[in-house]
Amino acid sequence: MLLSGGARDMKRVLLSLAWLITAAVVLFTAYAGYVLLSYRRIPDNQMLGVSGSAAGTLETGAAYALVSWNVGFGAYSSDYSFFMDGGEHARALSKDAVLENTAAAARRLQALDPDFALLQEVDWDSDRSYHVDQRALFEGSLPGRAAAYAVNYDSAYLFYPPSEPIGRSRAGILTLSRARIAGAVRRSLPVETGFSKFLDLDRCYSVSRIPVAGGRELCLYNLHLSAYTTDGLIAVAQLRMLLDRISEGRADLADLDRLEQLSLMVKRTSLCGLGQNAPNPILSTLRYFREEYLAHVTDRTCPAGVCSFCRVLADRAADGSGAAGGAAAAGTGAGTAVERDAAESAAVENDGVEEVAVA
Amino acid sequence: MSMRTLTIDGVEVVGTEGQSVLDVARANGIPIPTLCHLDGLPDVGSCRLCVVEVQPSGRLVPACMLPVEEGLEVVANSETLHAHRRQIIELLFTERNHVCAVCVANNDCELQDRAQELGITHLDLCPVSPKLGVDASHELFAVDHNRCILCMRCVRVCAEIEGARTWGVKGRGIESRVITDFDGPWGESKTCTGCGKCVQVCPTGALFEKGTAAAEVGRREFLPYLTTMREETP
Repeated sequence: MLLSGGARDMKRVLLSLAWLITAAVVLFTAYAGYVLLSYRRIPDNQMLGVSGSAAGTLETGAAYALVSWNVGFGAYSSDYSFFMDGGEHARALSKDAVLENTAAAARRLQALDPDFALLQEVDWDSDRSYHVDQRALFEGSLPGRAAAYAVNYDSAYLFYPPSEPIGRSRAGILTLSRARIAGAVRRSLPVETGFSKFLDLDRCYSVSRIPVAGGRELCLYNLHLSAYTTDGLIAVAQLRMLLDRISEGRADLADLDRLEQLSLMVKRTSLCGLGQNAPNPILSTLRYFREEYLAHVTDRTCPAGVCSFCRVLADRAADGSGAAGGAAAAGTGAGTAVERDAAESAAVENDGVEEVAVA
Repeated sequence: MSMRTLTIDGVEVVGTEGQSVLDVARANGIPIPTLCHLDGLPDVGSCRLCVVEVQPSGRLVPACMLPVEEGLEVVANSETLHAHRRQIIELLFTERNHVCAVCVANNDCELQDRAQELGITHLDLCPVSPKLGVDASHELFAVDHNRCILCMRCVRVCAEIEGARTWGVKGRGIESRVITDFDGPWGESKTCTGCGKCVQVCPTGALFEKGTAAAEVGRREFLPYLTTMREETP
């Protein structure tokens, strides 16, 4: 009797254990499915809405103050430690702590009173920062400034670390400027590939273009690189993209001359027929499309809407047909279908911007 | 031997059949810079530095490869030609790692000389800075591909004068390299006689004799004596 009773108990224990394991597997599978299904990347080249009002343009030769600050989603109270840095927490200590830290950061910014503020890790609706809209708090506490906000990542519910899951994170980078922002764009940085892409958050930088007196332009690059990578390869790839894009729009008229001289020299002095013909596409486009080269070099715009540096369309107030013209030119130009779509959606988004500015 | 009368830079000069415009210009004191040309070796016209303008068409032809003809009229020196030549030198500098200060051939380099003569003080273009190898497998010599300008003097002297045909060129365009035998290590070459002619004709520091670089000569052997000489004698 005793023996058979023990066996029955054992059976019951084993059965409930099996149920538990099954439930765990089902839950895990369901979560994995959720992560897989909700996997998406924020599209590149998003035009950003510019809110807030700022007057005037910049002068060359004047001094301006700029602050760049990773505000750490308002979590970093003096006794806070982040789990990825070997600390304890994944979320902020409390909603009050987030509100207090964000308000303190805003006060600090008011005291510094910078002409430009580039803020990173600004949440607007995240579990880790108790759904405090930090973007609105910062924008509200620094009035008289134009603001361009780019979503850095908008993640699925991350059940990690299990003791204190980060949950859903929606963070971004915020650029505030006392001078008018003519346009802003969000560029996606490269992230991990392969399986680890499911666990990697989106990263981006934003480019805000601010008119400077005399037809020049100030480009503010607000950047948030990937952190916590083991080999640093992604960070290098991200920096490379940034450098390439910055240098993209930096040619001047002397470079154009140099290009023409070099092409002529190679064409005239080459021994081989391939060398004699290689510069011909450059020379003929210089002859027949010189105004397009000049638009890139002097106005930093791309009439065909192909080059990325000019996706932020120049001063729409000065030229109301700028965006529409860009889209139309792309439709007849040599750009691929993808690039045309990008240019057209850029135009649509930019219309939205104007409405916000008017309102 | 039949004589040919031609005009170079407006000067009427006389050459013999079979001579090149470069030969005649040199004989008459008209300066034309060269890099791959070497008296005694057949010309290939690879460096393009000696290009001259053939009139009236204005076509550019390397003077070393242009045979004299009766009534030929060429311009060897003009502002455009000098600009082209400066750009040719500049492109040579940007293509590989020509940093004179750390080169075994510093102050004994034809590329450096031509750059100085043409007044090149800096590069407008970004150097490619490739990471090319150094083959030091040969007992006596070494080849540093970072310094090579592909003038092919080594290839020509090895084939035409020594008759060994050890040197060759592989690849195309920017991928071109000088090679020994079938692209094996120089030290294992079956055809190299170790005559050193290639090292003698190299215009840059690409081919050099081992033990001649400043770091290898060891002139700093004197330094320890600086302390021993100052030690007090009992």
